[in-house]
Amino acid sequence: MNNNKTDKPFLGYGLGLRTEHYEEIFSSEPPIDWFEIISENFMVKGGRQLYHLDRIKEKYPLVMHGVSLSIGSTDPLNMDYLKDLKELEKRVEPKWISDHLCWTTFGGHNTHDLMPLPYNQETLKHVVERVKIVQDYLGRQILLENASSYVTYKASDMQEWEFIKAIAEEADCLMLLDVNNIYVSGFNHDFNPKTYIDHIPSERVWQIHLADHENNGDFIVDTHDHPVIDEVWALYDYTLSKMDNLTTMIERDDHIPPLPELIKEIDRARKIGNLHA
Amino acid sequence: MLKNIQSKFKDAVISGKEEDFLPEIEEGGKIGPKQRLFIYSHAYKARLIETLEEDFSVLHSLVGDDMFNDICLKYIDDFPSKHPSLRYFGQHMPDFLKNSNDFSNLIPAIEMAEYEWTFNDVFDAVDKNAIKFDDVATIALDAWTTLRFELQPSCHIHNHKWNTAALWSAVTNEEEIVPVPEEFSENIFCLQWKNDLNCFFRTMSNDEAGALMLTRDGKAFPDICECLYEFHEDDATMRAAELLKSWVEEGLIVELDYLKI
Repeated sequence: MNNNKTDKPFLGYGLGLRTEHYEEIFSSEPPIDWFEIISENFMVKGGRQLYHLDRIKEKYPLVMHGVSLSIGSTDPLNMDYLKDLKELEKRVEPKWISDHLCWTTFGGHNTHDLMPLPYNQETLKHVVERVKIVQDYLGRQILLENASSYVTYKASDMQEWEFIKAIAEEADCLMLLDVNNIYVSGFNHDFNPKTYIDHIPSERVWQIHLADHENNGDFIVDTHDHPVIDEVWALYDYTLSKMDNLTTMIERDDHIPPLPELIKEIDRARKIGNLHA
Repeated sequence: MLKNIQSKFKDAVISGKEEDFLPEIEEGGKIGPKQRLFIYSHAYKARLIETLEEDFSVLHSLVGDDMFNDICLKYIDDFPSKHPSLRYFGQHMPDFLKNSNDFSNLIPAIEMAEYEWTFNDVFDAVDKNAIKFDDVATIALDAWTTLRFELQPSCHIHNHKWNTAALWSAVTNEEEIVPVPEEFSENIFCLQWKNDLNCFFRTMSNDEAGALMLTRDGKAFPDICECLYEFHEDDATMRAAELLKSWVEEGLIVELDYLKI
Protein backbone atom coordinates (compact mmCIF):
# COMPACT_ATOMS: atom_id res chain seq x y z
CA MET A 1 0.00 0.00 0.00
CA ASN A 2 2.90 2.38 -0.49
CA ASN A 3 1.92 5.92 -1.21
CA ASN A 4 4.07 8.76 -2.42
CA LYS A 5 3.76 12.48 -2.73
CA THR A 6 2.15 12.42 -6.16
CA ASP A 7 -0.61 10.05 -4.95
CA LYS A 8 -1.80 12.47 -2.31
CA PRO A 9 -5.24 13.77 -3.31
CA PHE A 10 -6.35 17.32 -2.55
CA LEU A 11 -10.07 17.82 -1.88
CA GLY A 12 -9.83 21.51 -1.00
CA TYR A 13 -11.54 23.08 2.02
CA GLY A 14 -14.37 21.29 3.78
CA LEU A 15 -16.58 21.13 6.81
CA GLY A 16 -17.75 18.54 9.33
CA LEU A 17 -21.32 17.69 8.30
CA ARG A 18 -23.83 18.50 11.05
CA THR A 19 -27.63 18.07 10.99
CA GLU A 20 -28.15 21.77 11.81
CA HIS A 21 -26.95 22.67 8.30
CA TYR A 22 -28.81 20.12 6.16
CA GLU A 23 -31.58 22.46 5.10
CA GLU A 24 -29.21 25.21 3.98
CA ILE A 25 -26.93 22.77 2.21
CA PHE A 26 -29.88 21.47 0.16
CA SER A 27 -31.38 24.87 -0.54
CA SER A 28 -28.26 26.87 -1.40
CA GLU A 29 -25.52 24.35 -2.21
CA PRO A 30 -22.92 26.46 -0.39
CA PRO A 31 -19.34 26.85 -1.67
CA ILE A 32 -17.84 24.09 0.46
CA ASP A 33 -15.53 21.70 -1.37
CA TRP A 34 -16.35 18.55 0.62
CA PHE A 35 -17.86 17.23 3.85
CA GLU A 36 -16.65 14.90 6.58
CA ILE A 37 -19.25 12.68 8.26
CA ILE A 38 -19.01 11.08 11.71
CA SER A 39 -19.21 7.40 10.74
CA GLU A 40 -21.04 6.19 13.87
CA ASN A 41 -23.91 8.65 13.31
CA PHE A 42 -24.79 6.86 10.08
CA MET A 43 -24.44 3.25 11.25
CA VAL A 44 -28.22 2.86 11.38
CA LYS A 45 -30.71 0.82 9.37
CA GLY A 46 -32.73 3.70 7.94
CA GLY A 47 -34.27 7.09 8.61
CA ARG A 48 -33.58 10.68 7.71
CA GLN A 49 -29.85 10.58 8.47
CA LEU A 50 -29.20 8.10 5.67
CA TYR A 51 -31.70 9.81 3.36
CA HIS A 52 -29.93 13.16 3.77
CA LEU A 53 -26.53 11.51 3.45
CA ASP A 54 -27.47 10.05 0.07
CA ARG A 55 -28.61 13.47 -1.16
CA ILE A 56 -25.44 15.22 0.03
CA LYS A 57 -23.32 12.51 -1.57
CA GLU A 58 -24.84 13.42 -4.94
CA LYS A 59 -23.46 16.97 -4.62
CA TYR A 60 -20.26 16.78 -2.57
CA PRO A 61 -17.24 14.51 -2.05
CA LEU A 62 -17.36 12.86 1.38
CA VAL A 63 -14.85 11.41 3.81
CA MET A 64 -15.67 9.21 6.82
CA HIS A 65 -14.35 10.02 10.29
CA GLY A 66 -14.88 7.60 13.17
CA VAL A 67 -14.56 7.89 16.93
CA SER A 68 -14.95 4.25 18.03
CA LEU A 69 -12.38 2.15 16.17
CA SER A 70 -10.41 1.99 19.43
CA ILE A 71 -7.25 1.12 17.54
CA GLY A 72 -5.08 1.25 20.66
CA SER A 73 -7.28 -0.84 22.94
CA THR A 74 -6.08 -4.18 24.27
CA ASP A 75 -9.62 -5.50 23.73
CA PRO A 76 -9.95 -7.58 20.56
CA LEU A 77 -10.83 -5.51 17.49
CA ASN A 78 -14.61 -5.13 17.31
CA MET A 79 -15.38 -6.99 14.07
CA ASP A 80 -19.09 -6.08 14.23
CA TYR A 81 -18.07 -2.45 14.24
CA LEU A 82 -15.68 -3.00 11.34
CA LYS A 83 -18.41 -4.79 9.40
CA ASP A 84 -20.75 -1.83 9.92
CA LEU A 85 -17.95 0.52 8.90
CA LYS A 86 -17.36 -1.41 5.71
CA GLU A 87 -21.08 -1.44 4.90
CA LEU A 88 -21.25 2.30 5.41
CA GLU A 89 -18.18 2.71 3.23
CA LYS A 90 -20.01 0.96 0.38
CA ARG A 91 -22.89 3.40 0.67
CA VAL A 92 -20.83 6.57 1.14
CA GLU A 93 -17.93 5.78 -1.25
CA PRO A 94 -15.71 8.10 0.80
CA LYS A 95 -12.46 9.54 -0.46
CA TRP A 96 -10.90 8.12 2.70
CA ILE A 97 -11.66 6.81 6.19
CA SER A 98 -10.13 8.14 9.38
CA ASP A 99 -10.25 7.56 13.13
CA HIS A 100 -8.12 8.48 16.14
CA LEU A 101 -4.83 7.23 17.52
CA CYS A 102 -6.20 6.36 20.95
CA TRP A 103 -8.23 3.75 22.80
CA THR A 104 -11.91 4.05 23.69
CA THR A 105 -12.85 0.63 25.08
CA PHE A 106 -11.53 -1.69 27.76
CA GLY A 107 -13.13 -4.91 28.98
CA GLY A 108 -16.01 -4.26 26.58
CA HIS A 109 -16.84 -0.95 28.26
CA ASN A 110 -16.82 2.15 26.10
CA THR A 111 -15.55 5.41 27.55
CA HIS A 112 -16.77 7.37 24.49
CA ASP A 113 -13.64 9.44 24.86
CA LEU A 114 -10.32 9.52 23.02
CA MET A 115 -8.12 8.00 25.72
CA PRO A 116 -4.36 8.57 25.33
CA LEU A 117 -1.81 5.82 24.78
CA PRO A 118 1.57 5.42 26.44
CA TYR A 119 4.18 6.12 23.80
CA ASN A 120 6.60 3.18 23.90
CA GLN A 121 7.66 0.12 21.88
CA GLU A 122 5.01 -2.16 23.36
CA THR A 123 2.17 0.17 22.34
CA LEU A 124 3.80 0.81 18.97
CA LYS A 125 3.94 -2.89 18.14
CA HIS A 126 0.37 -3.44 19.35
CA VAL A 127 -1.12 -0.56 17.37
CA VAL A 128 0.86 -1.30 14.20
CA GLU A 129 -0.48 -4.87 14.14
CA ARG A 130 -4.05 -3.68 14.58
CA VAL A 131 -3.79 -0.95 11.93
CA LYS A 132 -2.55 -3.56 9.46
CA ILE A 133 -5.52 -5.83 10.26
CA VAL A 134 -7.99 -2.97 9.83
CA GLN A 135 -6.40 -1.86 6.56
CA ASP A 136 -6.44 -5.43 5.24
CA TYR A 137 -10.10 -5.80 6.22
CA LEU A 138 -11.13 -2.50 4.63
CA GLY A 139 -8.82 -2.99 1.66
CA ARG A 140 -7.48 0.53 1.95
CA GLN A 141 -5.18 2.70 4.01
CA ILE A 142 -6.75 4.55 6.91
CA LEU A 143 -5.89 7.95 8.33
CA LEU A 144 -5.16 8.22 12.04
CA GLU A 145 -5.69 11.50 13.84
CA ASN A 146 -3.61 12.81 16.72
CA ALA A 147 -5.96 13.30 19.70
CA SER A 148 -5.68 15.97 22.38
CA SER A 149 -4.49 14.63 25.70
CA TYR A 150 -4.38 15.69 29.32
CA VAL A 151 -2.12 13.06 30.87
CA THR A 152 1.43 11.88 30.16
CA TYR A 153 2.22 8.36 31.31
CA LYS A 154 5.33 7.46 33.25
CA ALA A 155 5.42 4.44 30.91
CA SER A 156 6.02 6.66 27.85
CA ASP A 157 9.57 6.83 26.55
CA MET A 158 8.89 8.48 23.20
CA GLN A 159 7.51 11.87 22.23
CA GLU A 160 4.03 11.85 20.71
CA TRP A 161 5.37 12.99 17.32
CA GLU A 162 7.95 10.21 17.29
CA PHE A 163 5.25 7.70 18.14
CA ILE A 164 2.68 8.79 15.55
CA LYS A 165 5.37 8.99 12.85
CA ALA A 166 6.54 5.47 13.69
CA ILE A 167 2.96 4.16 13.61
CA ALA A 168 2.34 5.71 10.18
CA GLU A 169 5.57 4.37 8.73
CA GLU A 170 5.53 0.88 10.24
CA ALA A 171 1.81 0.27 9.62
CA ASP A 172 1.94 2.12 6.29
CA CYS A 173 -1.07 4.22 7.19
CA LEU A 174 -1.84 7.88 6.65
CA MET A 175 -2.42 10.78 9.01
CA LEU A 176 -5.11 13.29 9.79
CA LEU A 177 -3.26 16.08 11.52
CA ASP A 178 -5.40 18.09 13.93
CA VAL A 179 -3.52 21.35 14.30
CA ASN A 180 -5.71 22.43 17.23
CA ASN A 181 -4.98 19.17 19.05
CA ILE A 182 -1.25 19.75 18.65
CA TYR A 183 -1.74 23.22 20.13
CA VAL A 184 -3.86 21.85 23.01
CA SER A 185 -1.45 19.01 23.85
CA GLY A 186 1.54 21.36 23.46
CA PHE A 187 0.01 23.62 26.11
CA ASN A 188 -1.01 20.75 28.41
CA HIS A 189 2.33 18.92 28.17
CA ASP A 190 4.58 21.91 27.71
CA PHE A 191 6.08 21.20 24.28
CA ASN A 192 6.50 23.46 21.27
CA PRO A 193 3.80 22.65 18.68
CA LYS A 194 6.19 23.58 15.88
CA THR A 195 8.59 20.86 17.01
CA TYR A 196 5.72 18.36 16.62
CA ILE A 197 4.94 19.56 13.10
CA ASP A 198 8.62 19.59 12.11
CA HIS A 199 8.82 15.84 12.77
CA ILE A 200 5.72 14.79 10.81
CA PRO A 201 6.36 13.37 7.32
CA SER A 202 4.39 15.50 4.85
CA GLU A 203 3.66 12.62 2.47
CA ARG A 204 1.68 10.80 5.18
CA VAL A 205 -0.62 13.73 6.01
CA TRP A 206 -3.75 13.70 3.85
CA GLN A 207 -6.05 15.85 5.95
CA ILE A 208 -6.02 18.70 8.44
CA HIS A 209 -8.57 19.49 11.17
CA LEU A 210 -8.94 23.04 12.42
CA ALA A 211 -10.98 23.62 15.57
CA ASP A 212 -11.14 25.48 18.85
CA HIS A 213 -10.76 24.66 22.51
CA GLU A 214 -11.53 25.95 26.00
CA ASN A 215 -8.60 27.58 27.76
CA ASN A 216 -8.92 27.21 31.54
CA GLY A 217 -5.69 29.05 32.30
CA ASP A 218 -3.73 26.10 33.65
CA PHE A 219 -4.92 23.62 31.06
CA ILE A 220 -6.81 23.50 27.76
CA VAL A 221 -9.70 21.21 26.89
CA ASP A 222 -10.44 20.31 23.28
CA THR A 223 -14.10 21.39 22.95
CA HIS A 224 -14.68 22.35 19.28
CA ASP A 225 -17.30 24.91 20.27
CA HIS A 226 -15.91 28.28 19.13
CA PRO A 227 -14.15 29.78 16.10
CA VAL A 228 -10.54 28.80 15.49
CA ILE A 229 -8.22 31.13 17.45
CA ASP A 230 -5.39 33.17 15.90
CA GLU A 231 -2.67 31.01 17.47
CA VAL A 232 -4.10 27.91 15.78
CA TRP A 233 -4.39 29.77 12.46
CA ALA A 234 -0.73 30.71 12.80
CA LEU A 235 0.14 27.08 13.47
CA TYR A 236 -1.86 26.05 10.39
CA ASP A 237 0.12 28.57 8.36
CA TYR A 238 3.33 27.06 9.74
CA THR A 239 2.11 23.54 8.88
CA LEU A 240 1.46 24.60 5.30
CA SER A 241 4.97 25.98 5.09
CA LYS A 242 6.27 22.48 5.89
CA MET A 243 3.80 20.24 4.05
CA ASP A 244 2.01 20.31 0.72
CA ASN A 245 -1.41 19.33 -0.63
CA LEU A 246 -3.23 19.59 2.68
CA THR A 247 -6.96 18.96 2.39
CA THR A 248 -8.35 21.06 5.25
CA MET A 249 -11.52 21.07 7.30
CA ILE A 250 -13.23 23.21 9.95
CA GLU A 251 -14.49 20.98 12.77
CA ARG A 252 -17.28 22.24 15.03
CA ASP A 253 -19.12 19.90 17.40
CA ASP A 254 -20.95 22.18 19.81
CA HIS A 255 -22.53 25.65 19.73
CA ILE A 256 -22.97 25.05 16.01
CA PRO A 257 -23.27 28.47 14.33
CA PRO A 258 -25.14 29.28 11.09
CA LEU A 259 -23.37 28.02 7.99
CA PRO A 260 -22.14 31.46 6.74
CA GLU A 261 -20.03 31.82 9.91
CA LEU A 262 -18.30 28.52 9.23
CA ILE A 263 -17.88 29.36 5.55
CA LYS A 264 -15.95 32.46 6.65
CA GLU A 265 -13.55 30.16 8.50
CA ILE A 266 -13.32 27.85 5.49
CA ASP A 267 -12.49 30.87 3.32
CA ARG A 268 -9.80 31.94 5.77
CA ALA A 269 -8.23 28.49 5.53
CA ARG A 270 -8.49 28.67 1.73
CA LYS A 271 -6.79 32.07 1.68
CA ILE A 272 -3.88 30.78 3.78
CA GLY A 273 -3.72 27.66 1.63
CA ASN A 274 -3.59 29.71 -1.58
CA LEU A 275 -0.63 31.69 -0.22
CA HIS A 276 1.28 28.42 0.03
CA ALA A 277 0.08 26.96 -3.28
CA MET B 1 1.83 -3.17 30.73
CA LEU B 2 -0.53 -1.52 28.20
CA LYS B 3 -3.43 -3.71 29.30
CA ASN B 4 -2.71 -2.92 32.92
CA ILE B 5 -2.68 0.82 32.30
CA GLN B 6 -5.92 0.71 30.33
CA SER B 7 -7.57 -1.38 33.02
CA LYS B 8 -6.59 1.07 35.76
CA PHE B 9 -7.53 4.12 33.67
CA LYS B 10 -10.93 2.61 32.82
CA ASP B 11 -11.59 1.81 36.49
CA ALA B 12 -10.62 5.34 37.46
CA VAL B 13 -12.91 6.95 34.90
CA ILE B 14 -15.89 4.59 34.99
CA SER B 15 -15.84 3.36 38.59
CA GLY B 16 -14.03 6.21 40.33
CA LYS B 17 -11.21 3.92 41.57
CA GLU B 18 -8.46 6.49 41.22
CA GLU B 19 -5.76 5.30 43.63
CA ASP B 20 -4.29 2.60 41.35
CA PHE B 21 -4.15 4.79 38.28
CA LEU B 22 -2.84 8.08 39.68
CA PRO B 23 0.76 6.78 40.12
CA GLU B 24 0.82 6.01 36.36
CA ILE B 25 0.57 9.72 35.51
CA GLU B 26 3.71 11.79 35.09
CA GLU B 27 3.82 14.68 37.52
CA GLY B 28 4.86 18.18 36.55
CA GLY B 29 3.24 20.96 34.60
CA LYS B 30 0.68 23.45 35.80
CA ILE B 31 -1.79 20.86 37.11
CA GLY B 32 -1.33 17.64 39.06
CA PRO B 33 -2.30 14.04 38.18
CA LYS B 34 -5.59 14.23 40.09
CA GLN B 35 -6.79 17.24 38.11
CA ARG B 36 -5.62 15.67 34.86
CA LEU B 37 -7.59 12.53 35.62
CA PHE B 38 -10.61 14.62 36.61
CA ILE B 39 -10.79 16.05 33.05
CA TYR B 40 -11.47 12.51 31.77
CA SER B 41 -13.80 11.33 34.54
CA HIS B 42 -15.83 14.54 34.44
CA ALA B 43 -16.13 14.38 30.63
CA TYR B 44 -17.23 10.72 30.83
CA LYS B 45 -20.21 11.40 33.09
CA ALA B 46 -21.10 14.72 31.43
CA ARG B 47 -21.18 13.11 27.98
CA LEU B 48 -23.39 10.21 29.08
CA ILE B 49 -25.78 12.46 31.03
CA GLU B 50 -26.08 14.72 27.99
CA THR B 51 -26.94 11.68 25.85
CA LEU B 52 -29.65 10.57 28.30
CA GLU B 53 -31.04 14.11 28.44
CA GLU B 54 -31.41 14.09 24.67
CA ASP B 55 -32.99 10.64 24.54
CA PHE B 56 -35.31 11.07 27.53
CA SER B 57 -36.22 14.74 27.54
CA VAL B 58 -39.90 14.11 28.39
CA LEU B 59 -39.02 11.69 31.18
CA HIS B 60 -36.72 14.45 32.47
CA SER B 61 -39.54 16.99 32.54
CA LEU B 62 -41.84 14.42 34.16
CA VAL B 63 -39.59 13.60 37.13
CA GLY B 64 -37.75 16.95 37.48
CA ASP B 65 -34.05 17.83 37.47
CA ASP B 66 -32.99 16.25 40.77
CA MET B 67 -34.60 12.87 40.26
CA PHE B 68 -33.53 12.75 36.61
CA ASN B 69 -29.96 13.42 37.66
CA ASP B 70 -30.22 10.59 40.25
CA ILE B 71 -31.64 8.29 37.59
CA CYS B 72 -28.80 9.17 35.18
CA LEU B 73 -26.01 8.67 37.71
CA LYS B 74 -27.35 5.30 38.87
CA TYR B 75 -28.02 4.20 35.29
CA ILE B 76 -24.46 5.14 34.26
CA ASP B 77 -23.11 2.99 37.13
CA ASP B 78 -25.40 0.02 36.43
CA PHE B 79 -25.22 0.05 32.64
CA PRO B 80 -21.80 1.31 31.48
CA SER B 81 -21.83 1.75 27.71
CA LYS B 82 -20.89 -1.34 25.72
CA HIS B 83 -21.77 -0.10 22.26
CA PRO B 84 -19.47 1.89 19.96
CA SER B 85 -22.27 4.40 19.37
CA LEU B 86 -23.86 6.60 22.04
CA ARG B 87 -27.09 6.14 20.10
CA TYR B 88 -27.64 2.87 21.99
CA PHE B 89 -26.50 3.94 25.46
CA GLY B 90 -30.01 4.53 26.80
CA GLN B 91 -31.49 1.28 25.52
CA HIS B 92 -31.69 -0.34 28.99
CA MET B 93 -33.39 2.62 30.69
CA PRO B 94 -36.94 1.13 30.81
CA ASP B 95 -35.63 -2.14 32.29
CA PHE B 96 -33.37 -0.25 34.68
CA LEU B 97 -36.32 1.75 36.02
CA LYS B 98 -38.54 -1.34 36.27
CA ASN B 99 -35.95 -3.28 38.26
CA SER B 100 -34.56 -0.50 40.40
CA ASN B 101 -35.50 -0.36 44.09
CA ASP B 102 -35.44 3.43 43.92
CA PHE B 103 -37.50 4.01 40.81
CA SER B 104 -39.71 0.96 40.16
CA ASN B 105 -42.70 2.72 41.75
CA LEU B 106 -42.54 5.45 39.09
CA ILE B 107 -44.94 3.64 36.75
CA PRO B 108 -45.68 6.67 34.50
CA ALA B 109 -41.92 7.30 34.22
CA ILE B 110 -41.26 3.72 33.18
CA GLU B 111 -43.93 3.90 30.49
CA MET B 112 -42.52 7.22 29.29
CA ALA B 113 -38.96 5.88 29.13
CA GLU B 114 -40.16 2.97 27.01
CA TYR B 115 -42.22 5.25 24.79
CA GLU B 116 -39.42 7.78 24.26
CA TRP B 117 -36.85 5.08 23.56
CA THR B 118 -39.15 3.46 21.01
CA PHE B 119 -39.16 6.70 19.02
CA ASN B 120 -35.39 6.28 18.57
CA ASP B 121 -35.96 2.82 17.14
CA VAL B 122 -38.83 4.04 14.95
CA PHE B 123 -36.69 6.90 13.64
CA ASP B 124 -33.75 4.66 12.67
CA ALA B 125 -35.75 1.64 11.46
CA VAL B 126 -35.41 0.30 7.92
CA ASP B 127 -37.36 2.45 5.45
CA LYS B 128 -39.82 0.58 3.25
CA ASN B 129 -42.30 1.90 0.73
CA ALA B 130 -45.90 1.46 1.81
CA ILE B 131 -48.37 -0.29 -0.51
CA LYS B 132 -51.17 1.64 -2.25
CA PHE B 133 -54.92 1.02 -2.46
CA ASP B 134 -54.51 -0.28 -6.00
CA ASP B 135 -52.25 -3.07 -4.74
CA VAL B 136 -55.07 -4.32 -2.52
CA ALA B 137 -57.80 -3.75 -5.09
CA THR B 138 -56.15 -6.04 -7.62
CA ILE B 139 -56.05 -9.09 -5.33
CA ALA B 140 -58.29 -11.87 -6.65
CA LEU B 141 -61.24 -12.71 -4.38
CA ASP B 142 -60.02 -16.28 -3.77
CA ALA B 143 -56.62 -15.06 -2.63
CA TRP B 144 -58.05 -13.21 0.40
CA THR B 145 -58.26 -16.51 2.29
CA THR B 146 -54.45 -16.70 2.34
CA LEU B 147 -53.68 -12.97 2.43
CA ARG B 148 -51.09 -11.79 4.95
CA PHE B 149 -49.76 -8.28 5.47
CA GLU B 150 -46.23 -7.16 6.32
CA LEU B 151 -46.15 -4.09 8.54
CA GLN B 152 -43.56 -1.32 8.52
CA PRO B 153 -40.42 -2.54 10.37
CA SER B 154 -40.79 0.59 12.52
CA CYS B 155 -44.26 -0.44 13.81
CA HIS B 156 -44.43 -0.74 17.63
CA ILE B 157 -47.51 -1.45 19.76
CA HIS B 158 -47.69 -0.42 23.43
CA ASN B 159 -50.21 -1.13 26.15
CA HIS B 160 -50.38 1.93 28.41
CA LYS B 161 -51.79 2.33 31.92
CA TRP B 162 -51.14 6.06 31.86
CA ASN B 163 -51.78 9.00 29.52
CA THR B 164 -48.20 8.67 28.27
CA ALA B 165 -48.83 9.58 24.62
CA ALA B 166 -50.75 12.75 25.55
CA LEU B 167 -48.03 13.79 28.02
CA TRP B 168 -45.29 13.15 25.47
CA SER B 169 -47.12 15.13 22.84
CA ALA B 170 -47.76 18.13 25.13
CA VAL B 171 -44.16 18.34 26.36
CA THR B 172 -42.59 17.74 22.93
CA ASN B 173 -44.80 20.35 21.27
CA GLU B 174 -44.12 22.77 24.14
CA GLU B 175 -47.84 23.21 24.72
CA GLU B 176 -48.84 25.81 27.30
CA ILE B 177 -50.89 23.33 29.32
CA VAL B 178 -49.25 19.99 30.02
CA PRO B 179 -51.64 17.39 31.48
CA VAL B 180 -50.77 15.75 34.78
CA PRO B 181 -49.95 12.02 34.70
CA GLU B 182 -53.28 10.23 34.86
CA GLU B 183 -54.00 6.54 35.26
CA PHE B 184 -56.60 5.10 32.89
CA SER B 185 -59.43 3.00 34.32
CA GLU B 186 -58.66 0.54 31.51
CA ASN B 187 -55.33 0.13 29.70
CA ILE B 188 -55.10 1.72 26.28
CA PHE B 189 -53.13 0.63 23.22
CA CYS B 190 -50.76 3.00 21.45
CA LEU B 191 -49.10 2.64 18.05
CA GLN B 192 -45.80 4.18 16.86
CA TRP B 193 -44.51 3.89 13.30
CA LYS B 194 -42.70 5.66 10.49
CA ASN B 195 -43.76 6.16 6.90
CA ASP B 196 -41.97 8.14 4.23
CA LEU B 197 -39.36 9.25 6.84
CA ASN B 198 -41.98 10.76 9.16
CA CYS B 199 -42.69 9.32 12.63
CA PHE B 200 -46.29 8.95 13.79
CA PHE B 201 -48.19 7.79 16.86
CA ARG B 202 -51.82 7.35 17.87
CA THR B 203 -53.96 5.43 20.30
CA MET B 204 -55.98 2.40 19.18
CA SER B 205 -59.19 0.70 20.23
CA ASN B 206 -58.90 -2.82 21.65
CA ASP B 207 -60.33 -4.48 18.53
CA GLU B 208 -57.85 -2.69 16.26
CA ALA B 209 -54.95 -3.51 18.54
CA GLY B 210 -55.95 -7.20 18.54
CA ALA B 211 -56.21 -7.24 14.76
CA LEU B 212 -52.96 -5.38 14.28
CA MET B 213 -51.03 -7.67 16.63
CA LEU B 214 -52.28 -10.71 14.69
CA THR B 215 -51.25 -8.98 11.46
CA ARG B 216 -47.81 -8.26 12.88
CA ASP B 217 -47.51 -11.92 13.89
CA GLY B 218 -48.16 -13.05 10.30
CA LYS B 219 -51.75 -14.27 10.65
CA ALA B 220 -53.92 -14.33 7.52
CA PHE B 221 -56.93 -12.14 6.79
CA PRO B 222 -59.51 -14.77 7.91
CA ASP B 223 -57.78 -14.99 11.33
CA ILE B 224 -58.02 -11.22 11.65
CA CYS B 225 -61.74 -11.36 10.81
CA GLU B 226 -62.21 -14.10 13.40
CA CYS B 227 -60.56 -11.93 16.03
CA LEU B 228 -62.82 -9.02 15.12
CA TYR B 229 -65.88 -11.30 15.32
CA GLU B 230 -65.52 -11.24 19.11
CA PHE B 231 -66.07 -7.49 19.03
CA HIS B 232 -68.38 -7.02 16.04
CA GLU B 233 -69.98 -10.39 15.28
CA ASP B 234 -71.60 -10.23 11.79
CA ASP B 235 -69.99 -6.86 11.04
CA ALA B 236 -66.49 -8.26 11.57
CA THR B 237 -65.60 -8.42 7.86
CA MET B 238 -66.75 -4.86 7.33
CA ARG B 239 -64.66 -3.73 10.32
CA ALA B 240 -61.65 -5.62 8.95
CA ALA B 241 -62.04 -3.83 5.61
CA GLU B 242 -62.33 -0.50 7.41
CA LEU B 243 -59.17 -1.13 9.41
CA LEU B 244 -57.28 -2.33 6.35
CA LYS B 245 -58.25 0.86 4.53
CA SER B 246 -56.94 3.05 7.35
CA TRP B 247 -53.71 1.04 7.66
CA VAL B 248 -53.06 1.45 3.94
CA GLU B 249 -53.84 5.18 4.18
CA GLU B 250 -51.42 5.58 7.07
CA GLY B 251 -48.64 3.73 5.28
CA LEU B 252 -48.50 0.90 7.81
CA ILE B 253 -48.44 -1.97 5.31
CA VAL B 254 -45.41 -2.59 3.12
CA GLU B 255 -46.00 -6.03 1.62
CA LEU B 256 -48.88 -8.32 0.63
CA ASP B 257 -48.35 -12.05 0.66
CA TYR B 258 -50.91 -14.49 -0.74
CA LEU B 259 -51.23 -17.59 -2.86
CA LYS B 260 -51.51 -16.62 -6.51
CA ILE B 261 -54.43 -18.81 -7.51
